[in-house]
Amino acid sequence: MRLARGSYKRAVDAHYTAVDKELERRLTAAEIARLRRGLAVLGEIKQPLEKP
Amino acid sequence: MTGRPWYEEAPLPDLLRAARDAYRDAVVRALAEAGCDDVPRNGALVIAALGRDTSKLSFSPQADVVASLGLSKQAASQLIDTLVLRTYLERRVDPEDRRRMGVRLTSRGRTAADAILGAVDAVEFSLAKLITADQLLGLRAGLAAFKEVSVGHD
Repeated sequence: MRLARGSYKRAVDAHYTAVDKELERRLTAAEIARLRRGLAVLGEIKQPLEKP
Repeated sequence: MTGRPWYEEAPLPDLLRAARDAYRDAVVRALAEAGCDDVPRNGALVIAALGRDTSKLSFSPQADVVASLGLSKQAASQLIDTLVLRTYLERRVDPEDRRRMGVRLTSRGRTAADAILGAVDAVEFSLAKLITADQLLGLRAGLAAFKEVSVGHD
């Protein structure tokens, strides 16, 4: 079944919201803050990288 | 202006995508430098999984190797076919159960595995220098929670 663009976006947004809510149920605010910080730093790592 | 860091407001899917891209870019670059620029989509995950296996000379069940990818049986089979065709994997019929196939890395596959695992190590080495140990643990705990949420939605 194909969804119209508006319906698709609403379905995706609803799914994202459900995942966010489930995450908030499982993690404390401090844990979510550390998750966000870690993901943000990972996302800003540029190539080439120094080898360990 | 709230004075809060930008990442506290950013949608989590955007943060996840950017973080995944850091690994992807590092792996793509390392594979190209190793002369392995024809690894198919999802192929790096298969090669890395086999590369982490300490018993590198033994064959692993093909079904186990692709199980975590969430691919259809047909797509998984095509992925293994491509990796065999491009000489990253060797495949044989399991001598103890002829209905099953086993796969292992070839010499080229081991080269690719070393490149992939080295790239992942390099990303994590960089990350460990940029955040505290506590933040790193928090990141891992958060990603584990994501995985549990994902499993719960299956």
